[in-house]
Formats: sequence, structure tokens, C-alpha cells
Amino acid sequence: MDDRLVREHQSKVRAFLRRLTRGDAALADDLAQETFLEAYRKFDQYRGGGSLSSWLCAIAWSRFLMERRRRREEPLDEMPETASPDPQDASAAKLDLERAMARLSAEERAALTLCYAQGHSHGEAATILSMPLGTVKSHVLRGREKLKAMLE
Amino acid sequence: MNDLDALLCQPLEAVADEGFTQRVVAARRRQVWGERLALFGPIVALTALLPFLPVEEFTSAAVRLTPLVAQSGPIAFALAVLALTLSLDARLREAA
Repeated sequence: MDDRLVREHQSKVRAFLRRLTRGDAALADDLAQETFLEAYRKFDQYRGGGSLSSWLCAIAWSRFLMERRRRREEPLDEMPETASPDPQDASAAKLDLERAMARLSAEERAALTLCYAQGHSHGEAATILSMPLGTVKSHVLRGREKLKAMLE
Repeated sequence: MNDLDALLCQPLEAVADEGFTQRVVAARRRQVWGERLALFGPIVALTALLPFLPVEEFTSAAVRLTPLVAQSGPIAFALAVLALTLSLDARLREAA
């Protein structure tokens, strides 16, 4: 079986999911595995309109939302921060950013991550998150303002 | 707030594979086998049972019933509804 799909995209998908799950690496990896299994199943539905990694991130986002719905009693947004980046690898500023990021809503974290760290346009992020463009823009704006206030 | 923008623009930390790809590939293999089993299992089981089934009775019943089924208005209508439902479902799944 061709493992190139996973090998080439695992880092981006897992990092995106770790950001969404606020550093819960085990949960992020479970969701990443489900993401790739779904991608294999639905590969004939990939039309090549956007990049393959955007398509994978869209599946990852929908998997994350399903998991959040499944855990109604303990929503991911209210789960305690489970992990932080390795302090040896991360600068203090980066660590502060991750902590502040963990206090944003999942939608804000996703929109900021896609538009800044992964360099997608607002339109691409809207497609990935299945949200109207205006909603993505307001998540980015609101999330950035909250981060600014928290980091000051 | 250029510092914040610069910080946000930093790519996410790369995640080392550490066997993740192999785990996914193994899970995919299990999934494919499960799908094959679900698809071919009943066919194999039916084929194995075939020598013990009264095939001639089934055949003569089929010969008797087929023209009746083919001429039945209600059955034709029900099949048309079923076909329409399945095609609509396939289109909706494709659009989702």
C-alpha cells in the first residue's frame, strides 16, 4: 500500500490537530489517523481543486468537530491544557503564544493557524473550515485581538 | 503588534513521524480486509451452502414468478422509487 500520502502530510496534519486539541498529542494522533483513513476511503472524491494538504486539513477539522460533539459532557474547549511545547525546543515567546492560543475558541485557533502559521488565504481557510468568508475573517480578527490583550 | 504577527506566522513545530505512518498503513490494511470480508463473506458463505440448497425448487419458483413480477405495476413503481432514492442519496453524499 502506498504510504506517501501519510508520510508527506502527517507532520502538517498532526501539528494542526495538536493546535486544535491544545497540545493533546495522543488525541491529535488518534484524530490524525482517522483523518488519513477517511482520506484513503474518499480519495476518489478529491477533485484536485485545492492542495492535497488543504483537503486533509478540511477532513481533520471535521474529525475534530465530530470528536467535540461526541464529548458533549467534556467539550474540548473546556478541557484543561494538557501539554505545552517542549520548553527546550520553544522560545519563551512561543510558549506564551501556545498558552494564550489555548485560551481561544477552537474556531479562532483554527482560523489563526490556517491563515498565519500555514499561510492560507482567508478564502482557503473558509473552504477548509466550511465557514463563510466573513466568519473566518471575524474569527481571525477576534482571535488576534484576544491574543494581543493576553500577551501584553 | 508586528511581533505578534511574526510569532503567529512562524510555522508549526514539525512533528516527527515516529512510526505514525506505519500505524496508519496497518490500520488501513485492516480496514480494507474488513471491507472485503463484509463484501465477499456472504457470497462465499452462500456458495458453500449451495450444494445443500434445493436449487431446482428455487429455479422453478423463479421461472413461475419472474413474469408476474415483471408485469406487476406496484412492484415496478416501488423499484423506480428505490432507484430514485438511491441515486439521490449518492448525489447528496457526493455533494457533502
